[in-house]
Amino acid sequence: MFAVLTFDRDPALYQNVPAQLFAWIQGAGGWAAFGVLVWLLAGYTRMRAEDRARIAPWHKRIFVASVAVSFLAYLIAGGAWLAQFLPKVKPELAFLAYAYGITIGGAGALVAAGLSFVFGLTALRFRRIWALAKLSFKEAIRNRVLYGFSAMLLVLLFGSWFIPYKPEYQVRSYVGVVYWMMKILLLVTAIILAAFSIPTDIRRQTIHTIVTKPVERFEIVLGRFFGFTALMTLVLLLMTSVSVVYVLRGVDPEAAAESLKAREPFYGALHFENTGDKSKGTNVGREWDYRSYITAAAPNQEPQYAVWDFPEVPRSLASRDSVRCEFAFDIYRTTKGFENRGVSCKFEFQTAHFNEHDKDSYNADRSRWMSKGNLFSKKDIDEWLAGYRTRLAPQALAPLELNERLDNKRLRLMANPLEGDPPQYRLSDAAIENELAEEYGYYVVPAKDITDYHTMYIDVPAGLFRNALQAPSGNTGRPPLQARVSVTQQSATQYVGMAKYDLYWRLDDPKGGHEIAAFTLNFYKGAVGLWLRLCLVIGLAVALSTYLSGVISMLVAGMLYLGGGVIDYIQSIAFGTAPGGGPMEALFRLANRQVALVPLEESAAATLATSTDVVFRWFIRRVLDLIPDVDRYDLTSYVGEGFNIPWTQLWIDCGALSLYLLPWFVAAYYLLKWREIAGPT
Amino acid sequence: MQNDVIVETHKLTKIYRDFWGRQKKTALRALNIEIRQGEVFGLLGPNGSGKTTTVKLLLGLLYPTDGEAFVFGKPAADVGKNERIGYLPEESYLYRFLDAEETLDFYGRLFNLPPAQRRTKAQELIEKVGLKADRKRPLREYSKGMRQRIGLAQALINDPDLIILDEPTSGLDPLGARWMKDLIRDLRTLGKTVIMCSHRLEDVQDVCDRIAILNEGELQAYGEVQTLLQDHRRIELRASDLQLSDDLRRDLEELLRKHGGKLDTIGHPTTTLEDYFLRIVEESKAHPGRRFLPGKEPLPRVETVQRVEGRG
Ligand SMILES: Nc1ncnc2c1ncn2[C@@H]1O[C@H](COP(=O)(O)OP(=O)(O)OP(=O)(O)O)[C@@H](O)[C@H]1O
Ligand SMILES: [Mg+2]
Repeated sequence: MFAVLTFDRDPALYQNVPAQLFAWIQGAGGWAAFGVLVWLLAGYTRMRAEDRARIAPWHKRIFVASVAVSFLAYLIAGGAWLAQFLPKVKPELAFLAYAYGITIGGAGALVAAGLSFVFGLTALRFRRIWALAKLSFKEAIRNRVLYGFSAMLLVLLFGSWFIPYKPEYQVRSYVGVVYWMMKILLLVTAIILAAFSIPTDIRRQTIHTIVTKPVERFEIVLGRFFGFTALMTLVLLLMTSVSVVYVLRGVDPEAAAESLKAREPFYGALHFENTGDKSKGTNVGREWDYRSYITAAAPNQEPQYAVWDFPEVPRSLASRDSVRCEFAFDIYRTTKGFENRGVSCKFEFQTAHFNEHDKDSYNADRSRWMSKGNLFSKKDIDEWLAGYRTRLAPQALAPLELNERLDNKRLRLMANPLEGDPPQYRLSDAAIENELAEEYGYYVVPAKDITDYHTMYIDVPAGLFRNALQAPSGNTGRPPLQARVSVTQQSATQYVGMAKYDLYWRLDDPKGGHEIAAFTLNFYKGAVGLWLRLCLVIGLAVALSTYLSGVISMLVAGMLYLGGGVIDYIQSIAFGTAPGGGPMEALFRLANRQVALVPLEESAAATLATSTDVVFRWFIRRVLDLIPDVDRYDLTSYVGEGFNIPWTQLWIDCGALSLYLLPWFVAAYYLLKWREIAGPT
Repeated sequence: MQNDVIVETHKLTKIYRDFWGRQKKTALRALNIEIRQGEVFGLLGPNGSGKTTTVKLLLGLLYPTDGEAFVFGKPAADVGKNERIGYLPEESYLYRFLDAEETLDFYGRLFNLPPAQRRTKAQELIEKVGLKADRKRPLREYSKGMRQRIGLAQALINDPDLIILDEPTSGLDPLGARWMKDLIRDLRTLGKTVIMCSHRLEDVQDVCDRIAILNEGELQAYGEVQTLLQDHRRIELRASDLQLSDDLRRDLEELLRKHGGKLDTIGHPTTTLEDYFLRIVEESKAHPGRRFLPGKEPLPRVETVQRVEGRG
């Protein structure tokens, strides 16, 4: 709906990586513990004495040690979990013990389960993996798998007939459609190729001539994975190149202005003032609670503000003339008749150095210097400098520094002398704004009309950033830079909705003129998101097919992938955020005709229902660990809306995918190793 | 012949189970055999007697239900032993979309052979198995015999010390079967060890030093072909430049009676059909364009018995 990026989740950041790593250790570790347990019960007990004797002693020792550590840690975690119900135990303490317990338990189990795997990796040889990868590649090509991709041509030829067309959305629609088509074609092909390859090898017994060569069985898994990934990568590259040409040809200028670019946004943190709740504005009753709303102040009330704090200011911005602040807000109208007129908002930008009481003097200075017709006499400049000196007084700067600032300012003000007597100096409007912004640490746009559905911008004088970067004058407790938005009295009955990511600074230079190149690069980056999903389904399907038949592997991999699309819903059940609780509680409520939002009465049956749900949720959580978080790899909206995909996002996504696939590959390693290749299928 | 044991099995047993772990079929029961360096060892038995099962156990394609198998002193499941093994499956299951050269290159890579070595080795083997003219055709176009040949070539790509051949002559014409047998003998002269499964007894008799006969998964006989087959109660005598007559017969009977024996049969020896077939094919090569028209020409007769004996 909005020509602005809306985030279902926060963009990936390096500082969140450790937390995700811990979550992974807990999740994957739980499954590893389960695997080790099953092996101990079903595998080890059935192992013949002569085979047991063949396990290396150091191997045995590390295994036993890590299993013991894991067991103890899980025991502690279990105790801590029970302890939270005891009245005397501090819940935080119990929780801490529980978290440590499952993390260490998980880590121990991972070591135990991964030991043979890691040792087995040393036997792998690149040439054999490469040979097997090449074989998969050739197989797919010679079996004419790629003909299916000609379906893409249909979209390219006739797409424009079907793609909903509104000039300014052109880029977004086209990007959406080509990515969607590529996604379907590539994912379906990849999943079929990957799921059927190893089972077919086993069924046709072609695998017999391979495993009787000095081939580690895991090399077959990797060979298949890399072969199909390489093939799909090439196809993806080709399709992306064709698509980008398709999207770029004949772009409507309106659409180009909206999204044919790759903005590099610099986001702040949003809070609200005078709305009663710092984290929220007014709820206007829209279903989607992504945005919060503010409105103009009623008489004798403090005005409501949406405030973006920027805890740090990029140094690179200070050297420009101006820095673009972009925003796109939602408008919620309570009165008719204004449909086509914007809502007037006031934008204030201020640094930590800005003194609230200087607003009047800023305005007076501004109107005074702006009225000079861009021509300044020596006297004007002296007066300006005198004013600046008094304003700097409270900062108690060292004399050297003070003089330096004043001298620099004088040089800037007198940079463009005109011939004549008495001498005059030319200062453009932009230069005046810049000087004022740098001097006060303040810039204001008193009334800007906001329209729905449009990304709008204000070019803020970069002097503001130079001010923000000056040494802090004592600890004001304020962030170095703030953007404050309020609704003016003109639009008293209107509500304006905003979310954290609705306002940002442009780190790239919007006037730089490399928009198409940036967009093209960004389009390829968007394809990386699809590439990651391809790797995901190929890895998943190949790993599953080491044990399951082709059809079943395909179905399971497909279901896990699709499950990734609705993971939020499953999550809401698992973590009890869905209204009405888990399935048992819901059933109980249904049976007793209780409304979902009323807390259940205390009764034995109700307790039973909720504690059954605890078990159910625990179970769902374990299943959740198996489901890939596919949406995180969907970067289409970045490209479609014209936002640069940060490299950070790509790296972290790569890491997340590797972590997701790793346990599957470890499982595949063991499953294929233990499998009787010529056994009954 | 050295006596180093290359393959040994101890009470090797295989019971096929179904998905639920129920026992379905005991394919091999407590097999104890030893195979020595440099010999050609034959596994004999009727269909379903467990020959292929034994071979798969030796190769680690199946895991034993009980007992153990060692190849080159390593457990059969060990991957490292495969460096020195060549395996020709019962039916040659190769990738049908590859041609002969690509197939050999692929398997060469699996042995981590450097490119130059792969190329020369592939050319050499393609020539050896007689597929030079067809080396650029995809395997899906190959006939059964051609597939068997390329299968043999892939089994020899690593110059193995132990070659395991499951029904090597199946699907081959007599000419091919003879060629295969000659090849096995050549391998033996090179000091290689060969294990072959077969139910074509004449093949086994021709090339094997020692055999094991399986039936219903149980070892029935085991030892040197010569000793197993020698019939100590009978003596065979061959003579040439003689006319078959009653006189001759009477004289011989008398002579034999004097030594305490008894004449069983006397007559012209017949050759094997194999020999006959081979000669026909040879002759047709010598006279291109000649063909057999019923009634016109008598069937070519066997005049002299010429046996191609591998073992003197
Ligand atoms: N995968 C399997 N599952 C179940 N039973 C099997 C399997 N493979 C073989 N068998 C059974 O094991 C027995 C031995 O089979 P095997 O293939 O070893 O015989 P063989 O001696 O090679 O026979 P042939 O001369 O026909 O090749 C047979 O009864 C067969 O039905
Ligand atoms: Mg067989």
